[in-house]
Amino acid sequence: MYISEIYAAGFRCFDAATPLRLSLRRGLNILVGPNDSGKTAVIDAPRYLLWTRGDDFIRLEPSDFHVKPNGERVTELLIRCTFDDLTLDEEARFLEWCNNERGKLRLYVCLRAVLRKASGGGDYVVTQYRAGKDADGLPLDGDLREYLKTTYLRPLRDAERELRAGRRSRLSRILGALPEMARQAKAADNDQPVTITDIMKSAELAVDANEGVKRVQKRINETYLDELSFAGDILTATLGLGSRQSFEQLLERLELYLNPSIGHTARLARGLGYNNLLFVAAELLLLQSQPEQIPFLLIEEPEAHLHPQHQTLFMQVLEDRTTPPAAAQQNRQVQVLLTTHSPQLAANANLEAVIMIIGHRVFSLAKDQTKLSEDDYAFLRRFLNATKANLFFARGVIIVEGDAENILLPALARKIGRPLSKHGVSIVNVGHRGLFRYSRILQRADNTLLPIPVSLLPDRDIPPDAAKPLVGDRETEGEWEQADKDAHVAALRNHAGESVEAFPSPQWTLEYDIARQPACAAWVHEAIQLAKGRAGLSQDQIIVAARAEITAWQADATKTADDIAVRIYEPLYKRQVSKAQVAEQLAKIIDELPADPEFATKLPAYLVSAITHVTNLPAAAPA
Amino acid sequence: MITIPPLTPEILAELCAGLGGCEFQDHNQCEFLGSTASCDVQAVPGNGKTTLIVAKLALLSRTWTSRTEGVCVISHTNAARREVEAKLASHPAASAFLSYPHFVGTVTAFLDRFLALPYLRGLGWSIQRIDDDVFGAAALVRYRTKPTLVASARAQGGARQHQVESWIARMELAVDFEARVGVPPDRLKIRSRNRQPGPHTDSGRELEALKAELVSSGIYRFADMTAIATQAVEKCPALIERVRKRFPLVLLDEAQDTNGAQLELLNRLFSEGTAYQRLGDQNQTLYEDDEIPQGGYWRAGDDVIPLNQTRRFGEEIASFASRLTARSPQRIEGVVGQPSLTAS
Repeated sequence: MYISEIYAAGFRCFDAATPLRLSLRRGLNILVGPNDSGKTAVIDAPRYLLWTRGDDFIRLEPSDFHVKPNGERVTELLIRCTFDDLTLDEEARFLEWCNNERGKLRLYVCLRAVLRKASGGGDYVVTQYRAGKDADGLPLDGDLREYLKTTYLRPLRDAERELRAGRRSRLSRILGALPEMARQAKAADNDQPVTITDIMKSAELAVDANEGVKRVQKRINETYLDELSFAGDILTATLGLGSRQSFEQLLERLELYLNPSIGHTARLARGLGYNNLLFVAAELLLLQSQPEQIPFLLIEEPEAHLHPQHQTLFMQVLEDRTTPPAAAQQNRQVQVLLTTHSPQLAANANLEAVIMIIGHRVFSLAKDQTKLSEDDYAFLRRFLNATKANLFFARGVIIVEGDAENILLPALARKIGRPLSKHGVSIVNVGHRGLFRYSRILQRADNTLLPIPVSLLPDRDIPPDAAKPLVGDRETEGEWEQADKDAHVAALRNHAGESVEAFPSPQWTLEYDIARQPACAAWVHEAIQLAKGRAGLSQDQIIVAARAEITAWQADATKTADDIAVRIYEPLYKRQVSKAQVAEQLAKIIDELPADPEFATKLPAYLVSAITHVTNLPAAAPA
Repeated sequence: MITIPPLTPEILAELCAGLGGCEFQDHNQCEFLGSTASCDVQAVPGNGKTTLIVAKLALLSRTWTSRTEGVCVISHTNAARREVEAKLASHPAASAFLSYPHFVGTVTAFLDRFLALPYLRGLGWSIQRIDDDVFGAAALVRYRTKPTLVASARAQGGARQHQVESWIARMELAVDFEARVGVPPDRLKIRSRNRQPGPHTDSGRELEALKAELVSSGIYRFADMTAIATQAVEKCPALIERVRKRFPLVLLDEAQDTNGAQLELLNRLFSEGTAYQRLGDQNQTLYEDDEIPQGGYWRAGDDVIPLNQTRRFGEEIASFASRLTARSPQRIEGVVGQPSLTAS
């Protein structure tokens, strides 16, 4: 069986009116979201209900109860996990805990808690763990309780310590649960290979019989302890391995450590990250080979210890382990719920496994949950990289087609007093491919409004008539039928919807449309000329010349704004300069402009709208 | 796979000592103790059936290692259940059979726990009380809102009131009642009784509506649970395999008192694929319920194991009592030397 849904109402950030309802896949589930979005609360919900194998001390505190917007703390909470796809064995074992839903057996387990006031005025929490959808079934205890315990890998753990020998070490628990160790707990039967128990026994005898040990023991007993003892109450001591104990204590003497290099086993402290990988390996081994517990793994922020390439590798291993094993294999398919704010991890995962969490609401990117098509998933699997995966953590997203917008928009936004960084807005530069595929990530199949505004900036890409000499065979503005133009623009806007808005450039391209604004023409011309360079002229001289040219063109009444813009744009169109270089120059020019409250009015309106769309604070805080 | 250690004299002696001194000298007792297949046991009164069941569990406790499969001990009355529980609790090894994955309880408790309650939870129907008296009282109060029923109770100067009210107080769910998940029913099919108005009449419709109201309030009769359990098995026959897998061995105590729909359901669950061992005394069957046909009671199979020795009385009474074993002729063997009591 696996956990198909986690439900929480009244727990931490999850209000009873808008509870957490998180559907999980059988394999890998990756919860991505910015800080304080509720990731830890999602992980803690099953942890508090099902408990963990490390047997950490887990108890609800009054502070785990939700606080309503009016500051009032609720007094009831319910956490529920739904288990589906029970095997025949599991159904037979846990029949009395199940719900029989029209012939389908399903297991619900709940933690219901009430916050009570003690007579002294303090708060205390009363908890009940029960099966049933509304905690109306049998108590969750005994074998079922053991069976449902999860494995939890906490962030920033000290993996080396957990793998070290010692009392109740995690490693000893793991070893004790592995089938390979079953024989080792007892002395070997006749003709069977010796077991660890045998080895320790004979080592113990050998140590006891050792000359040096015996002499030291004798000296301690006879020379020192004897003198320190009262008459008739003689103290004696034994020097030895001290392993005349349980098998668990033998296991506690084992430790797992990374070798300095192949073939060498000396102890050498290795990095925290590597030790964590080793720890994860040990836990996965246990999860896959222990039939007495469900293989459910909770991992919080594994990126803390791993550099980007290792994050990629780590994600690949997790994906492998969470795909259904081949029929012949004994291994069990592991279910993982992982939280991260690493775009690297998010980018490397299968998009279907990703669950965004925004303002305490979860949005799964599984198929049928988003507007993404089958084809989109395949495309994004190839092209979604760490930089683009920033969109999972943003408060607003601008999706653009090229470097120019990517470089220029932050400068424009700063100048109109809406700096993108301050608003948590990411720009995703898709580089001419699949603009709309990325925006569909943020569009829900059921048309729910995602609280992340998205601006799409496609180029309209119809050259003006003034550019006819430049573009040759391409049809220009006047040569397009009005109906075709309408259809073309409608197609660009077609992908808008929910929180996604499309802002096509009104004419041709970004640079052209900026140059077409009288107040901006000079900046664009300067930037292009600076990027292009002029033989024998310094930067300052180029600027002076460019400004003079603009003044002359604009004074010429025969020239329209289009004529001027086409002249400015010509070197870019002919690829005499690169778009990126021009954008850099232009960004610099704009940054150096004096503060201007009217700046926004000088820009093409569509750019201002696009920036405003993603930097408007939401009217009401998302629930 | 059930394994029972060979019944050597040493093991039997240990077993008897562990149970506070008893004897298993009867060959038939040992046959039951060692049996791992389905069988019927016809036991005379005072034979020590409960001790025998506990002895069997004590034997099994030496070999039972599964943590996922258990033994199911079902009795008819709570008194018999308590007796088995008390005896088990005092035996250090056999006491394990009191907890998961095993089950000790009445037929009703068994059917509720494994079949009826999971099914009701699946329907989203809540349960407040399962009690015939509570149901009867509530039904008699609530039928006042049903005009046709009230009218027929008052008709002919109230001559039929008793009849009408006995239908109302004893309405039982029919096995094929119709239910939709999460939707409170507005009518529920009830089991038909002799001369009770059918569902096509106004009275019959009101009875069904009344039953639905009571069920929506969470008030049930014991027999309702059997009907619900039966429907659960009918809608989901795969349950049978689960129950059998969970309980490779089922011991049905007081088999003579288990009857009608309950017995039918138990037989359907355990008739094959599991060791189903039924113990009882057919000569003690109480034919209380006139609605259950003669065939609706437990009858031991042909290969029955007879337990003839009684510790309750001497030979004289035993031989007299033997003449009363009408249903299943049996020669009761009294205790040799025990003073025969004479009725005075």
